[in-house]
Amino acid sequence: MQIRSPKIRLLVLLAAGLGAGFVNGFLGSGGGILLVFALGLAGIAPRERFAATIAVTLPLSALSAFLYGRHVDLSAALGYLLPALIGGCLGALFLDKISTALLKRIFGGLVLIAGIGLILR
Amino acid sequence: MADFLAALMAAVLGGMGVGGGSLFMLWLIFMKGMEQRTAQGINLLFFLVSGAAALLIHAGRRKLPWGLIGLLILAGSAGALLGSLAAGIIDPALLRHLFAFFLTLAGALTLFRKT
Repeated sequence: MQIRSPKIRLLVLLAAGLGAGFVNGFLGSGGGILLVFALGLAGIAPRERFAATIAVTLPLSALSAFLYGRHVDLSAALGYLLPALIGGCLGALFLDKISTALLKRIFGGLVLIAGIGLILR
Repeated sequence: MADFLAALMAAVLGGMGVGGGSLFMLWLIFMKGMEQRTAQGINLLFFLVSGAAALLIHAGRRKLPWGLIGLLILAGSAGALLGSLAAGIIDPALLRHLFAFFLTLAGALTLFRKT
């Protein structure tokens, strides 16, 4: 399902951006999920959808980290630096290797897990 | 070793842009025994690193809608400000339940859709 009118598409995207930020500010995370769906509605191609969402959520997450990240035990986070770097690079490279159908299913599965996790919280 | 692999997997998923944070949270909370708050913080920092690494590669490999991305960052920042303000006023449970419902439904539909 895609929105044809460019004006409506832009409105939906801005609303989604606002909503995604709101969810992140309110719940702590999860806004990126909204963004992926909205970018899909706006007709952005699947791989570009996922990559663009990283581009949007990265600065927003940095903002969150700056505002709220002060009570984190940094020593524990440091231990994950290496897998974060390696995995991030691998993931970006894998994006082109995996079919869009599978990517969407993986995304759907992760969203489902996020939803169930949120229910159980 | 398992810890490294779990984190690696989370970073790979995050690098693809499909998520993975929720899985990593489950790992940190249930396997590493972290408190939710701590796990959230670690997850956040983790994504900053893995996402940044991934984005550098994405930017070089594909044409991204940077104008739109910029707009969304602006809108998102405004939203984040509103959200954090609202968190102090509105009962978080309501939005949590609504969002949980939406995620579960949307996730299931996306996962199981017939292509």
